[in-house]
Amino acid sequence: MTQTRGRIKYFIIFIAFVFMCGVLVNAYLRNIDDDTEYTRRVRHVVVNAYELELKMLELQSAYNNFVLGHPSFSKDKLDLAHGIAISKYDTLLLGDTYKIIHPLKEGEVIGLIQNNFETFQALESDISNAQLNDKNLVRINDTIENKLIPNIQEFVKAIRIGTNWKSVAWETATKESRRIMQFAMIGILVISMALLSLLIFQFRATREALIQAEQAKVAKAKFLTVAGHDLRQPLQASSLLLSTLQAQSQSTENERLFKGIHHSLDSITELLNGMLDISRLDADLLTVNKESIPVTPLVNKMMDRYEEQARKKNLNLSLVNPNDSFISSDELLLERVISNLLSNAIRYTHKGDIRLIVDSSKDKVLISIHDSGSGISEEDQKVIFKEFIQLDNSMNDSQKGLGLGLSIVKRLCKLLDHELALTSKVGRGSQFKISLPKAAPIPLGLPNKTRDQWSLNGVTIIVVEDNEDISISFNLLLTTWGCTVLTASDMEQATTIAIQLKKAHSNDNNDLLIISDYHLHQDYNGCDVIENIQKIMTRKIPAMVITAETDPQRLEEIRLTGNSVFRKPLKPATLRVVIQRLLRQA
Amino acid sequence: MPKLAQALLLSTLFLLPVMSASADTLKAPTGKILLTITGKIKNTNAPGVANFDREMLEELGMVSFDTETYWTNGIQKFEGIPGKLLMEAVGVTEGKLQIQALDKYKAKVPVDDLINHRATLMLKNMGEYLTVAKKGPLWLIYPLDDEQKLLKKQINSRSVWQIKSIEVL
Repeated sequence: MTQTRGRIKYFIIFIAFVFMCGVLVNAYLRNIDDDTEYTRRVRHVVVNAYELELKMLELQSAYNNFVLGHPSFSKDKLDLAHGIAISKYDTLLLGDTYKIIHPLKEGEVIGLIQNNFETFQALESDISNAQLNDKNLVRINDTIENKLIPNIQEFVKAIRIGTNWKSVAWETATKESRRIMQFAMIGILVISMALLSLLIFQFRATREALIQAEQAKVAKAKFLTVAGHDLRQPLQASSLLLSTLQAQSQSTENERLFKGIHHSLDSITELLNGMLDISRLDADLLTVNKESIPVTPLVNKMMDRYEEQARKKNLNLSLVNPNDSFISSDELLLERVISNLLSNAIRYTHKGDIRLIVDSSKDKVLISIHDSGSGISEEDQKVIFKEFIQLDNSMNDSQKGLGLGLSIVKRLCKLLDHELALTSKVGRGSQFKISLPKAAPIPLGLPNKTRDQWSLNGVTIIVVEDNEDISISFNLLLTTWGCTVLTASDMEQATTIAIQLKKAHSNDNNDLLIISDYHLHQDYNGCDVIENIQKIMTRKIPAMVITAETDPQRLEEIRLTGNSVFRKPLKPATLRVVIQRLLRQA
Repeated sequence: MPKLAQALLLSTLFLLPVMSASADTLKAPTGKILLTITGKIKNTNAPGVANFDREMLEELGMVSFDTETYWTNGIQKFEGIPGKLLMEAVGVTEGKLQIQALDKYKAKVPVDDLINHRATLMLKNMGEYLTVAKKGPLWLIYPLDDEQKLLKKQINSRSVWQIKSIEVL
């Protein structure tokens, strides 16, 4: 509606502009015509003035010759010359010619002609009644010779082209067309101003809207970071506490209850992650941080994460990963992609197997997820990547997500510039393939391909955590795994623990690990504490930083200190695998 | 042979007066000649010439109209002979006229102006015969009204006053 009105406004302005231009062009052409016409009239006046001089001389000659008795000058000839001379005065003093001479020199010129005519008229009867040897000859000849002719020459000079024509009479002659021209020019100016101000107004409105949108984006980003952080903390705590509780009071009755609560917590975590991911994608907050990543640890991690879920649904989750390839991608984002695809596959496959296959060619690594689910019809393939679309709606409610998974996958792949392909046939399962560029290997401790379960017995773990709930839950969980746990809530306590440890096991190089929260104190963070402990112990102790931080840049900063970073909430199974891996790499 | 030549000579002598009689279809002027028409004309009253005195002109048919001109003040009453009638009198339907004035001004005027644009040779202004002093004895005037299709500059140069003679080109 407003757009139409805006368009009409511009249309009207445009029409007015064209109209004014038309008026201007018209007036200009008319002005040229007026000017030409005026010049023509001026020429007419000048010609007639010269003619008067000429005819006056002819009259003088005719009169003199007739009076002196020249045989070829009759009275008729004299009368004719006389008549013509009078008609020349008439031409100058009547009609258009009069009008055009009149304004010259404020009437001075026309006055000259009129005086001259009066002088001439005084001679009229004498000339009309001329006779041979007329006694008036000398007087008339003198008057013509010394009065009329010099007088005529004077005003001929006064009206000569190029004297005062332009300034006086020209203005009146071309007045109307010049008025219209002025009007049209002012009109065009006004319209241009109106258009300009309208454009400036529009520009300002647009800029304001952009600024508002930018502010809204920043506000949303802030909200998401805070919300993400604050929601993860209690989830982490309850997840750890629940595992501890389960370990302590395992019985057949509450087995199902624990399972249910675990499942619910997992669902909440997943929903939360999905929502935050899609919000951040919407807000353009995700920054891609590409680096060389080894594929094997990544897929192993994925297997660890989903093995249990698959087993619960009696699905066979298998990995095919023949080569240790390196790929160029953002580890955290790629993890989200594979996670989403795997969890989707598990959710929508009711029996059979799910395979995670890593295949590498000369310059590409292909990660594909195959399932033996019901497959996706061609029509559905077009819509499944949209938000809030779920196909198998007969599914149990507790299994249902928000329908964001594939949308996130697609958008993340686009962001990462990874090609995503889907091949599926109804009844024959689906394959999602991600094509990734190969990267040069980086010299890291090669991860172990076999994933044997290592015992955590005898491992000493320093937990630095200021949140008491989480600290207690860590303590309980790690103790059930057979670890010795030393908890510290700040730098001071951590330092004390480190000094004691250094005294007790000065030469013991094995099985010591630090788990630290990142946000500890306004003056220092988890990385600082870890560094301090390592300095006291005078060696590099494997350490992991756990944080509710979601800002990818901050995560990268932490990673650059050389410590492994994990986002809260960290599931017990993942925690265990990570601890094992860190100890192995040490 | 001499007989044939004689016959031819005789027939020529016989035919000559007939031929000249058919050319002199205009009556001869009796008064002072006001206008002389020469050139490609059909009707004459002297060898190759058509002379008109005031009486002959008035006999062609006078019209009267009130009009403004660029050389007079206000609306003027003019009386004169429509150019169309004058052209009919000398048997001219097309071409151009070279009009010569007493003051030696010359102008070319299309015959079409006289036939279709009502250009009229005026004899009288405000009831009085035009004198040389009043741009007479004949003044070609175009009526300036809504029907006038000619431009001002065309009328301006073609409105010949003090007309002496016309040559049909």
